Amino acid sequence: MSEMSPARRTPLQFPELPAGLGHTDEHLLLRENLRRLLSEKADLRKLRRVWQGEEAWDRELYRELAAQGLLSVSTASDGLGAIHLAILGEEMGRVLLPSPFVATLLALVLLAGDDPLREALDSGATRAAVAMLDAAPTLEAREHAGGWTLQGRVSHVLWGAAAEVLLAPARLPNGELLLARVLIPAAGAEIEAERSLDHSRPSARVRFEDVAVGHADGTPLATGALERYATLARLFFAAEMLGAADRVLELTRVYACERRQFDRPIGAFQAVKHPLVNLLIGVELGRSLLYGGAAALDAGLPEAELSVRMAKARAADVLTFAVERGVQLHGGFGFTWDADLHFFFKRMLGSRAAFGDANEQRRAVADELFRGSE
Amino acid sequence: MQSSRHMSDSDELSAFRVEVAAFVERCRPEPPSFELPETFLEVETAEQLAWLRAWQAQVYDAGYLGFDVPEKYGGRGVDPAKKRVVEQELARVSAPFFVNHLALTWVAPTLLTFGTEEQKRRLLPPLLRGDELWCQGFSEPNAGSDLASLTTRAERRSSGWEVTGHKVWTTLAHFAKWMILLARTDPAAGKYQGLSYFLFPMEAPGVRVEPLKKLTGEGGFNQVLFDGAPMPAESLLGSEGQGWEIALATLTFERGAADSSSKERAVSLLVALERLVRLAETPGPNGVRKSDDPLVRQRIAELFIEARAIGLSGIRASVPGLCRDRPLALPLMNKLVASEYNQKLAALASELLGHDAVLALGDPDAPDAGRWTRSYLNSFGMTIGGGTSEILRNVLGERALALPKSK
Repeated sequence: MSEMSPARRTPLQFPELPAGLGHTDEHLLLRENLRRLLSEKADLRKLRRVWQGEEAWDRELYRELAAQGLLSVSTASDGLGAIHLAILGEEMGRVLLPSPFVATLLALVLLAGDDPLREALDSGATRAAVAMLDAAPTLEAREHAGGWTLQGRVSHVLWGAAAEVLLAPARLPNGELLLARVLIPAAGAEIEAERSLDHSRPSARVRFEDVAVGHADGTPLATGALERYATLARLFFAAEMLGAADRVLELTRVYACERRQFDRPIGAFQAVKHPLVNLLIGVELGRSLLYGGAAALDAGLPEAELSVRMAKARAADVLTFAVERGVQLHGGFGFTWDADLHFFFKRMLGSRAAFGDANEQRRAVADELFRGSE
Repeated sequence: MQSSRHMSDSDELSAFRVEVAAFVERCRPEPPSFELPETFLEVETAEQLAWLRAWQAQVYDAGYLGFDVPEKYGGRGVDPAKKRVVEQELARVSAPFFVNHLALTWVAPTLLTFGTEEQKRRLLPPLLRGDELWCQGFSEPNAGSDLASLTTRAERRSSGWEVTGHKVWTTLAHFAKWMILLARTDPAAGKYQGLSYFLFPMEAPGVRVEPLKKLTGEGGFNQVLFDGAPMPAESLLGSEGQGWEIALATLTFERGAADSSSKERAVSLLVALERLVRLAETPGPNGVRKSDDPLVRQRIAELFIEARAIGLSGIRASVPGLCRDRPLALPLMNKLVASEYNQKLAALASELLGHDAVLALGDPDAPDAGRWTRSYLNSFGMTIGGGTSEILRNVLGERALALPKSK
């Protein structure tokens, strides 16, 4: 064996996870119910109508999801945990749910458990969005007698134009972070829709010019709050991408069974079958990473952050592979606007970048693997 | 190395784990003066065989082998949790493999499922202890992926059966006392219906075992020629014509479909990964460490993620609620994913070795004694044997995704 470097950490090992990966019957039931609800009320035909601007996003479904308590993910002690968030993400991803629900959900992940805004968001009464690109604040805050003024720009704010309140993390001159709540419309706040390819998840550019925030509407962001937010958001996007990839697999599987060439279904050809199997393997291994990451988070294990990064990295690669193969294996039809594949393709572009792309996640994993050898 | 308490262990299981860890600590043999093979697939010499047999017997005699076999057949009673603990503790210290691995992993469960009471009582105890080794007579020169097209014949005689034909890639045939043999008993019947499954005594006359040399230069597997070799009537396993069904069961055990506990496999996957990390960290002759190269770091991180995914999949496979969408997928993926992971890992290691990759086992300058390149070459045995990766992709596509059959 090779010489060991002298100052090495303990040997590699995986964390012990709770039995059943922390999943209870309640979790399984939640998944079942969500799958049924979303397949009834948010099928791909409806997605197409929303996408093409023939129909607005579904307010009633938003309220119904909120009424079921699904927005209460990761509130303090009585809230729903990471496993719930992963289930939500996967099921929303399967249908590319075209709803600002996702923006409010992420805003709630960022809000502290005792924030006065929680209730309005939780209940579905108020829609929110986070005015921050991933987990890096770009806004600046200046303090004065009555509170603060905020300035700066944020791009890619998911559902920013649909938000009734913006959660705006901003940096104070002393380096500390403020979490401001800005009711929209607000003087000095300009929210402009971006021309996004993903019509199921519109994004906005936000410009703040001396936007006034009263003392009651700002709280310091606790240390670690952004890291925790990033980890949970990564978990959500990993789940969403795996749900989407699984749906692409299913769409393509069905097509490969129905489409006939050379007197047989094209799925009988190994050149079609094997990429689908590679996608299946990717999805299934990705799901294992996802459930492991969620279980580690809920169990409060120190490895949880890295576990979630692994799931995010894998999910991004799997969805990229899924949409590429999905379009290709659908042949000429896959190249048309009429096939549903391009919806998933366009969602992939944003989700794989969110909170760090696969290379960035792997970089963090590698840093941990090689820690102590630098 | 100390074994840690596992969150999922009961008190009884924790006590058992401590006991096994102590045994492993105390009894793990020192590496012998000669080179040991990497796996049971490459056992070549009598001294390797004797050494490995002694290790298996030692573990068996201590009471730690046979946790999937009832006591009346020489086992320790069916206790998957204890089996897992033993496998984990052995993997943790990279303990030697069991020379009768093939018999333990896929012959024993086949016998338990299809054997008569007499067959089980006679054959299982010496199998578990490693006193009687087994080999597998399935593949033939002209029947590989299309196994059911095999032509080795078993013909009825007054005293039993007579075998004529040719088997290949027969690991351990030169040391085995028994062979699980798939042969055609009714050429008039259909391709699948005409096959029967036998427990063939290798000492029979009319059997010739010829060694085959692998691409690594190592031996360990063979071809077996049968020229009217006799076997008694009770050699038949199950009933005549049931061969294909039993063979599929054996293949399922071989590919690990019946084994949801790939967690200990993940432990051994990590042992190899750890070695790769150290290899990358070790400065090369020019003082450069591969671990400083961001691309190398990415690829090693990706392997780590894959190992984690395989380990978690093993756990997930035992939680039915987490496999509802496609219950067959994880069990059918096991062997394919693990063998390809091992290959990727060895391939990367070999690449990182640069010029040294070409150094053979035993060269004084070979990093890790030349084992990396041997692993790389040997890894193809695992992606070909027991169902090629291509055939396994067909199986997955057709069974887990319900795609039409490839013809």
